[in-house]
Amino acid sequence: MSLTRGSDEALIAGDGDLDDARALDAWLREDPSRVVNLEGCGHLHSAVVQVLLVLGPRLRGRPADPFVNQWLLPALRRHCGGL
Amino acid sequence: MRDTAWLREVPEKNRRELYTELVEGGTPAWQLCYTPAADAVARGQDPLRLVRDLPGMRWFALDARSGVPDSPDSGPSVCRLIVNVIVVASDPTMSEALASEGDRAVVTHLAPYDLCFPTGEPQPQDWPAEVEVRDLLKRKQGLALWRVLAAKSKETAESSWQASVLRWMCCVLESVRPDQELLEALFASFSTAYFQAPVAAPAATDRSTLSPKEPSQTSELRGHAALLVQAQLALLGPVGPVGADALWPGRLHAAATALERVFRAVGAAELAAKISEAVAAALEAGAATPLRTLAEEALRSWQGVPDLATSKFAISASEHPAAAVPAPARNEDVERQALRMLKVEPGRIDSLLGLVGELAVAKNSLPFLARRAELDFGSRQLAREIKERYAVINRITEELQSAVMHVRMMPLAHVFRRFPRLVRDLSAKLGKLIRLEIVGEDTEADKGIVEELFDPLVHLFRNSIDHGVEMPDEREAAGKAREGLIRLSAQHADDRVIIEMRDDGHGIDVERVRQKAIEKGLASADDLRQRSDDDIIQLIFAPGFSTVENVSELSGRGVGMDVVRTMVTRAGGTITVTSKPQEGTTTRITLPVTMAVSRVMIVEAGGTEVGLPFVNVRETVHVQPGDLKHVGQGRAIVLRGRLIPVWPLAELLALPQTETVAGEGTSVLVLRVDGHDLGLAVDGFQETVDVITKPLAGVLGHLELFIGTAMLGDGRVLLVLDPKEIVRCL
Repeated sequence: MSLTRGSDEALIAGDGDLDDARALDAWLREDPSRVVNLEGCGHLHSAVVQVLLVLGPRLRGRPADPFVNQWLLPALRRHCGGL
Repeated sequence: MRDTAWLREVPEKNRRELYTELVEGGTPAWQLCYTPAADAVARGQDPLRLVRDLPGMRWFALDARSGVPDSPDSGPSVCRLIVNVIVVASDPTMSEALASEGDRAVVTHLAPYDLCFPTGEPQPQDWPAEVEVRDLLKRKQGLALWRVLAAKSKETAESSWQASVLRWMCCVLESVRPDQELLEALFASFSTAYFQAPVAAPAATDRSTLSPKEPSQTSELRGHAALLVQAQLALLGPVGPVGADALWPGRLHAAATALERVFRAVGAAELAAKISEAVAAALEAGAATPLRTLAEEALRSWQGVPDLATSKFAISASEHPAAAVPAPARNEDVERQALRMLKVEPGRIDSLLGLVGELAVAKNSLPFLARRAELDFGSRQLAREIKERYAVINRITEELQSAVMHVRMMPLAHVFRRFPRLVRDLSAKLGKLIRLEIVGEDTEADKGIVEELFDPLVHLFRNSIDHGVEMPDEREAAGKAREGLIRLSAQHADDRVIIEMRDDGHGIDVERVRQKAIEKGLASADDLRQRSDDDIIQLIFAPGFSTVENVSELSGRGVGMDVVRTMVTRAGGTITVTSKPQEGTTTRITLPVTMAVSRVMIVEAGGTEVGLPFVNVRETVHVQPGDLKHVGQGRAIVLRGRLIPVWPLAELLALPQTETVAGEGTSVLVLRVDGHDLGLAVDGFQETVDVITKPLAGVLGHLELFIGTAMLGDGRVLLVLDPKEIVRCL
């Protein structure tokens, strides 16, 4: 399990998978104001990306993965208008 | 389907950068639209993995297909992602994995035009410089245009449509070959606030890919229609409400009529029907907006046409990876270049060259002016500024000069290609077997030089064929191939072009040349016997020298190598001959690549100034009194272990010699003439200048010591010495 859920912030570590995506989806739907921290994430799994894209939570952190940092995160932010 | 709408999401800055990259680099850009299968994630795949490591990625955008929104069962397990990526790569097959996705990963070519479109909100504003810009654009004054646009762009609100247009125009102008059509289209959109990429250029490529169902006629017609509609948009004036303008209703009606007819002509009857309605609405609102909307709608729908056509051709990477590669841009360039080739009468270029020469001389007056400013008017500051300006003008003049020189350049092939026939005819006549090998015929040189070259080379060929290469039997007896070889080669060496002609004949008979020279009394017998073989060979250049007793039809009529040498020297070149018995003769002609303006170094001697060709100057040294050694009757200096004879220039020219102050050294100008170094003791060195040397004429014409005269910037006349004549006088 690479998803750690706090009270208002979830931390994604590693790549994540479909199970993580389902858990994240459910957790974000409980309270749309919750924040996702990508500080420690690796390559984000497509399913996780889709959850972030569809639900558009606030994103935090600066991922180390160059693709995520340079392309994925900006694309998500443009799409969601989040911070 | 090809969908370019998402390109609007790409910020203008990124698009501009990519545009520049595409225009300047040769690598094409590809647009990948990847829609993974809905069950991809459920099947344990991770579609983004296929995309993340694509090399040359320039843009990445994500979108989600609208499924059943927010329904829990359509949750994360149903993949709804749409990935749009721009990649710059030579090969549209981005990866094996993507290729196997088939129709889900569609790769299409992304042309620079696809990226160029201004964005932003149009703002009503006037621009007095618009006329000027139109004029500059027409005259293709890129730099001036860029300045005007850049200045205007600074004072325009950054987010406005107009500012975006200006930025794009600057961007296009900054590229190596600014796209004139694109610039015009952009400029047109400044006031109409509607941009349409130029029809001509992309259509040319699109048309070739149009399917038969889409006759090119329609697309051409639509191109014309689009231009007409754009003109109406311009007529309707800037966006926004119009003020008190008595002519406006008339203009509105005129534009409406034109639009209606255009729409009917292209078969857009439904649009034409809406015109009268729009006019009424526009008149009521006091703004052309309803009519504009209609016109823009039409343009948009037509713009979709080429898109549609290409989308039919949108090749999924898996099917025809090779077919998706567009025809290399190079070919197009070559074709375009050929069309733009210009034929100019040589006389015009010559007069241009003359003017450039005069400019080069005129600019030389600035350093004199600077000196006057400093010495006569005591203003160092002004002198410095003049010198700075001079540096700029000097640079431009030099560039101009080399540009004009470049126009005059032509490949030596113009001369060389006449020789195969000559060799064939002559060798057939003499019953000899000769193969001609030509190397480096694409070497370029000034037109005048190339033309001067023909006669001397014909002469050399005749010599080689007649005297050089032996008869086949003779060659066989000497252990050579029956077929002789003449090799003509040309190559560049710095600013000179070296032409070499080599035959594998029996070489020059040195003893016979020596004998002949004694007979003709060219020099004393003793002297001739002492000279080295190489020196003796050079005697063939002496006037009236010919070794072959039987005057043949081809050569040996007394007008020999001296004529060749005169011709070469007149063109500013040198000629040398080397020969080895039984191995052959090599003639080497060295010519300047360009003529007209030459660089001359000014030196002082005996209270006067003379010039010396800069090509001969090896170095300038200042020697201490003790270092000027007496060797026999003359003097010499030792420079880097070599003894160089030194003559006082004033003495050679019979000028009054200046008193040398004891303890002060001597300035020595070291010249290289025909491979030998010699020093000239002078009173001082001055600057080097670019001059046009004019040969002495009239009563002074026989003074061979001087190459000619040159006019200096301050109007004085400078005599330019011929170093070769100096050597002869010693």
